[in-house]
Amino acid sequence: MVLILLTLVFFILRILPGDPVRVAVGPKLPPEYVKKICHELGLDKPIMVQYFDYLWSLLHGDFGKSLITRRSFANELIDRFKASVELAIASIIVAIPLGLFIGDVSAKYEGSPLAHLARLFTVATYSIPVFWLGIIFQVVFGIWLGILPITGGPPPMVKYSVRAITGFTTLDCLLNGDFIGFAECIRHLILPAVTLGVVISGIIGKVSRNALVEVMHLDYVTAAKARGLPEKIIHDKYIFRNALIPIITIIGLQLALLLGGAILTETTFDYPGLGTYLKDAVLSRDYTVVQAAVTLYAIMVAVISFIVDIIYAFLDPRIRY
Amino acid sequence: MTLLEVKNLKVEFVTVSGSVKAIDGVSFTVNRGEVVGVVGESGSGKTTLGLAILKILPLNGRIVSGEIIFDGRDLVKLSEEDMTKVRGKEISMIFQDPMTSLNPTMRIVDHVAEALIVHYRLSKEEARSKAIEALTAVGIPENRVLDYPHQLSGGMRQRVMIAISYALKPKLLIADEPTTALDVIVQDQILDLLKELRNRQKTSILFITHDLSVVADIADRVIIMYAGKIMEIGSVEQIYYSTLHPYTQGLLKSIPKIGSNSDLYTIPGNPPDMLNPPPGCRFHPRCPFAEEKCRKENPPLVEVSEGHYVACWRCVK
Repeated sequence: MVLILLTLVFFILRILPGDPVRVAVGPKLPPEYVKKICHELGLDKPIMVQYFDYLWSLLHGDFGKSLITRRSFANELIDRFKASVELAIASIIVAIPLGLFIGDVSAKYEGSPLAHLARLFTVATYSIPVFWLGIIFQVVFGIWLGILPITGGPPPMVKYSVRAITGFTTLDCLLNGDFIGFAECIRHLILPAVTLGVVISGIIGKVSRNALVEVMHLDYVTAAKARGLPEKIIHDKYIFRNALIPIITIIGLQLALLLGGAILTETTFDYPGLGTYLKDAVLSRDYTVVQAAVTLYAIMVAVISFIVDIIYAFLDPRIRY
Repeated sequence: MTLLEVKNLKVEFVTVSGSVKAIDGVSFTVNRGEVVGVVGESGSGKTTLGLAILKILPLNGRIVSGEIIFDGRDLVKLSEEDMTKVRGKEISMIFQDPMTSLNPTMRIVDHVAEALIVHYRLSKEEARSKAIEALTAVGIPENRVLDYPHQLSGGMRQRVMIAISYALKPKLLIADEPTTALDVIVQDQILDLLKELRNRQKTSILFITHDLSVVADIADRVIIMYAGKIMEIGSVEQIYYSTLHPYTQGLLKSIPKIGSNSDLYTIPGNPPDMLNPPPGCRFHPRCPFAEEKCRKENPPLVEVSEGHYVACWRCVK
């Protein structure tokens, strides 16, 4: 799967109009000079040769050099990725409880005004553009109320002053006992995390509502009621537990998407994550960087699906591998 | 001694196209230690009757009026909290499809143990050992008690359901077509098990089925239901040998007989549309003896001989 993705990305990038050298040096450079740079970067070789060169170096763990800065970008990539992980975790912490709560309310009070309200919320969050919500939050909390910063990501002052242990700035602050830095990081995380979290909670809410309603009407739930089990046991052990599979699936998918960098949200909040990095790389046709980012993304999706599959086996005794 | 007395029970379901009177003025009794069969075709309201007694009707269903007097208390008036104490412990229910009646993510022993913990406040260990006792008593080998439901056959799963009832020692067991989804050999084993339960614990059983031969095997008395109303009540002998109601006669005639070459008898027509049930006797459009009166007035359920009740104008003198 990963190989197919790499191949597709490799060729699609090269079919796209525009080339990295022109973007990097501008249109006014003499053609012979452009040719020279192309030669240095190996861009004048036949495309199949480039392709196999690329796969060969990838096998050796070498992502190559950025075509624009002509420097190795592995550290930068990892750095951006870690920032995206921070944002992903923060937003999923917002999304899961909110989504499950919404799903639970709309399933439990099915048909009542409260449930309609909850479903309206899921449809609304499902359909509003994430950048629009982000801008609204920036205006309300950043400008009108002035309580939260409108840019996201760990402030550079904190990022470069704290001793790096894990590379996750927020976590590093905590490990170093720098609570002021930690609070600053959290403050900068809140708006982008809540924006993403609210949008994702809508999807989680919708999926969990459907799963819960489906299980609620199954025979074993009626049978459990007929045994006089208290509502809490029926809800937790009979309904919720059996509805978890689709819920975990959607959470896993969303998390994988988030780890790949939420391009729109990161751009809205000028957040230094993988999403903005990828966007910049695509705009400047920096082939190697895009390829590396997409590889990372593919690996994340594969890893998360693998973890989700393992969770399935824990949740449902009928699933064995 | 009467254990359960249902008086003039009415249950309706609210649907988009109107309200459906699934049970329309049903009265009967179940004595202690007695097995009462409830027979009727699909849609006659027999499953609804079971759910109504436990007050676990689906959200759109409700008891409109009537009384359900169980062991001296009217269940209709009981609060939801008191009902949870009745459910399982005093009245338990087993269902038609054993394949779907157990929680797929729970071990079978925990199904039994959990109910014991809730109703008898046993410790985990006590509940487990009692649960294993109950499971082995219904014929589940001890090395299978830690299995999950999907590892068991349909017959075994129905045994688990019976084991839960067995462990909780209810006074009344509502068995809703417990053998319908099983093959004939397993059906027989389950019936034997229910009889044993009745003999050992003196449990009364309300046995809901559409199968007259199963009823003849297990029941003491039989209630014949049609379109939400009771047509005939009597002992098994009365129902089978001195059948009075034309509907019961039709049902008995439509049992296939080995060695007979004639076509299988079917009652003409279809059960009524419950949104607009026919006026008068519900059965009159399909009844070969219907008269003018049957089309206009609903016949009352009257006792024609001791313990034999019929709702048919032909039997009202």
